[in-house]
Parts: sequence; C-alpha cells; structure tokens
Amino acid sequence: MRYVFLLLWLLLAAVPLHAQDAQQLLQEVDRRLQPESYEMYRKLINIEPDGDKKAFVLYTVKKGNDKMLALFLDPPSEKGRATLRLADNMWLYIPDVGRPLRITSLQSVVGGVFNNSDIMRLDFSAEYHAESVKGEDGTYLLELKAKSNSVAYDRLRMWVDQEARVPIRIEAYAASGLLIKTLHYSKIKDFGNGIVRPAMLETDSPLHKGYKSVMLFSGVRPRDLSDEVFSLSFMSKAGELRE
Amino acid sequence: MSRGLTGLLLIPLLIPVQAEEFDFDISRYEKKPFEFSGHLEIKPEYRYFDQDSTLYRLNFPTADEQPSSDDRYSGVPELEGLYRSGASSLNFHAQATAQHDIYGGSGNADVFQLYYRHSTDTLTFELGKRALKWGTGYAWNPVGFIQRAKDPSDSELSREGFIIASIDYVRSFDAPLKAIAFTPVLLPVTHSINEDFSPEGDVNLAGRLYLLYRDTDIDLLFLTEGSRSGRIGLDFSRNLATNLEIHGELAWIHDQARFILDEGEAINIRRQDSTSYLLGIRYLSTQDTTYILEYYHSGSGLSKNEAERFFSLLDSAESTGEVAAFEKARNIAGQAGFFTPNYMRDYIHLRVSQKEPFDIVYLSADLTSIINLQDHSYSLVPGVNYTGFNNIELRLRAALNQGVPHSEFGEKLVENRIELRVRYFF
Repeated sequence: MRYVFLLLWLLLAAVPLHAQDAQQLLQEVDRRLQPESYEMYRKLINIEPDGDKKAFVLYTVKKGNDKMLALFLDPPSEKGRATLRLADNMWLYIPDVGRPLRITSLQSVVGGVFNNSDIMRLDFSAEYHAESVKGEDGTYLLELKAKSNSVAYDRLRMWVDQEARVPIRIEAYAASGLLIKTLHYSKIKDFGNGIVRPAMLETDSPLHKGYKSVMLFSGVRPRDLSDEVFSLSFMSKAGELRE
Repeated sequence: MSRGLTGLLLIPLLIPVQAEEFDFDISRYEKKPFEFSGHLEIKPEYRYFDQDSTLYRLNFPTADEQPSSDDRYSGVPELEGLYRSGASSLNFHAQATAQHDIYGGSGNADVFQLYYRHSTDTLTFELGKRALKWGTGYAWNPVGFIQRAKDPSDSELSREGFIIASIDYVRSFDAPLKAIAFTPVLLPVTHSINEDFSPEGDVNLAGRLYLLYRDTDIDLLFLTEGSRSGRIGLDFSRNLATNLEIHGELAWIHDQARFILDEGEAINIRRQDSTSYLLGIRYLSTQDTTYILEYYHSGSGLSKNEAERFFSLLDSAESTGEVAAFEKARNIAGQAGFFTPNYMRDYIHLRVSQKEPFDIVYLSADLTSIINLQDHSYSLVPGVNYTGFNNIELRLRAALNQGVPHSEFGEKLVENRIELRVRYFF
C-alpha cells in the first residue's frame, strides 16, 4: 500500500501547475509558516569558520500584510533595540539614542549572514509574485519574483514540502542572477493552535564563505494586536507586549 | 502518505549542512517584574595639546606648567532597570564617571532618568526625570526644545533628562494619514527643580504633534514663553528610495537672547527672533557604505566678526600678563557660551561608515567630520568598531582638530587625540 501512495505521489509531483496555483500555494505556505497576526521568539546564531558563535534573541509581533515590530532581548549590548516596519517604511530605535530613526529598508541591523530583510520579512506573498510552480523530487519548486526593488532578493527559488506545505529550501538571487544565500528549513514542529512548521532555519552564503547562520523559532502563536502597537511611540515599550 | 515517508524522501534536503544541536529556552526572555542591564566602560586616551591655541592658554595660563600632552583614563558604569506591575513601571537610568588626567582625579554620578510610566496601547503617562529626544537630525537638533545638547562628534551617547510630566496619545488609521500622536509636556523650573534648564522659574508647556502622512514623518513642535523664549518648530523624514532618506528641521525662536561683545569689550544681551534649520540625507551604497550628510544653520550662532572679538578679548587680557584680567575675560566668554561646541552659525556634518570592511564580520569603520563653513576649520574623527566578542564592544578612535588661528577648531585645547573604548555589557 505504501508503494501505491509513493507512485501516486510521484505522478502528482510531475504535473505542472499554473501561476494562479503557484500564488495560491505561496499564500498557503505563508499561512502554514505563521498566522496573519502573531507573536514569536527567534534566536539567531552566527557561526564563524572557527566555530565561534554569537547569538541574538528577538521578540517579534506582526499584524496583517504590512506591520511588524521586532525587539532585541539578547545579547545585552543589543537589548532594547527595536525595528518597526510599516509596509516599506522602517525605523530603528536605539535606547541610548532615545528616539526612532528612519532607516532605509535595505539597512542591516546586525552583522553576519542575516540581514534586515531576513529579520523583518513580511509574508512571502506580500513581497513576491509566484511566477510558476512544478513538482520536483517530492517537493514543489516555486519560482518567485520580487514585487518591488525594496526587497533585498530579486528572485527566490523555493522548494516546498508537498505534504506539510512549508518551505524546506530557498535560494535567494540578486537581480544580476548572483546566488546571495541559501536557506534550509528543518525540524518541523507542532507549535499548537494548528501551527505546524519548521523550528529551525539555517543559512549559508557564498558571499560569507565559511560563515553560517541558524535561526531557531519558538513561542509562535496567534495574537490580536491593536494598530497602535505598530507606531513610533510604542517602540520604546515593545518589551511590555510579552506575556 | 504518511509524514514518516515524506520525511524519509526529504532527508537529503532536511539534513542541515552541518548537523548540530542548538537550544532555545524562551522562559528566560519572558517578562519579569524586575529588569536590570547596563555596561562598564574603560577609556584610555592620549591627548596631544595645541600649545598655540587660545584654549591651551586658558587652561594653562602660568609658564611653570606647560604640558604638551597627557594621558587620560576614565571608567564609566552605566545602569538601567525597571520594576513593572501591570501596565505601570518605575524606570531608572544612571551613570557614574571616574576620571584621571593632568588635572588629577575626579568623579561624578548622575541619575539620567527616573520616572513612573503607565501605558496602554494608545496612551502613555510619564512622570519624573525623563530624557525626551525630539528631531530628525543626527548631529544637531534645532527642534530639541527640551533636551540637552548632544555631542555632534558622538551623537549616540546617552544624555541626562529633565523632570517632566507628559502624556502621549497615539492613533493609527488605514488612510493616507497612517498615524497621529500628540505629546504635551509640562516642565517646571524652580530654584531646586530643573534649575539648569533656565535660571527663570516657571511652569513650561511644550508639545509635539507627530503625523505619518503618505510615508513621511512630520513633527510640529512648540515650547511656550516661560523659562526660555517661546519657540515653534517643524521636522520631517522620508525615504526617497530604498537606499536614500532625507530629513530636516526648522525652528523659530521668538525674542532669543544673544550675547554680543561690543567694541568696548563689554558683553551685551541682544534680543532678536532667530531661525535655525538643518537639512540632511542618509544614503546606503551597494557596497554597504552609509553616508550621512547634514547642513546646519544656527540662527543664534556667532558671526565670524563676533567670534573674532572674543578671541581678541582673550588675547588682550593675556597680553596684560595679569591672571585676574585673564580670568575675567574667560568668565565673560564662558557666560556667552563661547566654549560650547559649535558656537558659530553654519556647519556641515559628514559621516561615512563601512559595514564589515575587508569582509571582517562584526567590524565597522567610520569617518566623521564637522566643518565650520565660516572659518573653514574642521574636525576629523576616524574610528573602527568591533562587536565580535560576546558582550564586549571595542572602539578605537582618533580625532584631529585643524584650522587657522582664531578659528573654532584651530583654537581647541586638544589638537590630536587617540582613544580606545572598551565596553562590557551585562
């Protein structure tokens, strides 16, 4: 019986899908990864070629398609830094500076392989058009094109688990066609509230040879938030949102 | 199909590049009643004095002590913390400094902030000592009506606040006007409260109205007539492209006191309306180089002739050879604000910073310059910053002040300086 399912699965994988199907699949991937409005904790670990590690912990809340607020909880040198994104507008709050500064959306907040667009990414379907999808080795391969030049990566190739409907690998390309980085999702976990998604994301980049970054996800859950949470006034007290 | 089978098929894709276990316990990051953090800083400096400068002669007026350089060492613990209960919190931020240089040892401790806060999503009430920061400029903030002046060469240093009571009310909309916030502030001045804001006692009202309109930040600001002259201001900030931001500030001060030295070397207080403004850009290149360029006009700043009179006053007092005359001249210039940073009218601030030069992760290099457009003197501050060690930040900076005699940066006490700042965060 298992082999029959395997055969059916391989046949299904070979059927090409249209752009409309691709867009629907991308939206489904978004919803499987996270609710439309949520809170989550993330740990970013930069691993250097000699094995040294530096970790950052972020608390993030998101609402709808265009609102996100991320707060650094660790390391102590970054604690209290907050980044707010409203569509293509982005601000950085540094406690010593004491006021939000408008930053360009391509500005990096931490060093290492991760950049702002990885940390402050909205839904994939909000930032990318799904141009096509095809079955490939037990996965769907989505070809994505950035909707605007405010997105750090011009093109994405996303391999999606056909059953779990979550990404397992993403290749990010610049407009020149240069591969900037590869993201590997793993450790699919049940976070509760119907959220079953990868708990780990590893990133490597030919631009940072020998360096690797790991992002761990925890405490992902739906959360109703007022629009005013996503305001400049709230950035200095973002930590109060934690429960 | 079973999850197990799918997982089996995907093993080559799911296995990380290098299998390794990582732990992530979020319980230590959940909200707690007490929070405490801060840093310890040590900063050794080597300073080379400009022995021909006016400020050198003011600092070392007697011929028996004429050092050409000194070593300065400082240590700074800075602590922040809060206690929260429900929607309320008590917040503090304090700094102590111990320093040893050519003048000997010294030290002080300051409470920068100590305030009660009660907040909801839309409303925040604060009472106590609070450092409010207004304006969009990096080096200067002409609309910073109720804040202490920042050091333009190190604008991210924390600063002391004033005792205030404030409310912040914010609303968001799904419209071209995306957000609006109004922040009225009461700032009392008596002989024992906020006495360094002004010698004039009064209850001062200030305020800020913030608008996010069509992706542009706009602030309208005011301070009513009271301990200081009445003033109104406007600032804005907007991204013109994904890598280009523009910002500006405009402040109009009614009947502002200016200290002018007349031909008879007597200080005169002249009251007149003044306008100050700032215009700046922030640009990020494809090589990850950030450029910040700002032009600043200070309406109450000294003209070149007015500054020249202060230098002449100090020169003529010195030529008498009498310490008392020199002290008197120094006090006059000090009262007029002649020794404060950037006391003249027109300046350029340029900061160029490079993230990860030579592909060294956690390293950044920067160059900051402030140019006095009236006397063409300038400061040049190159530096490197490294944050690769856990909880430790290293900053190495040099500083060079250059200018002709009787120019702002040409008459500084320190001509060259190199410093290493080590901060340990906890």
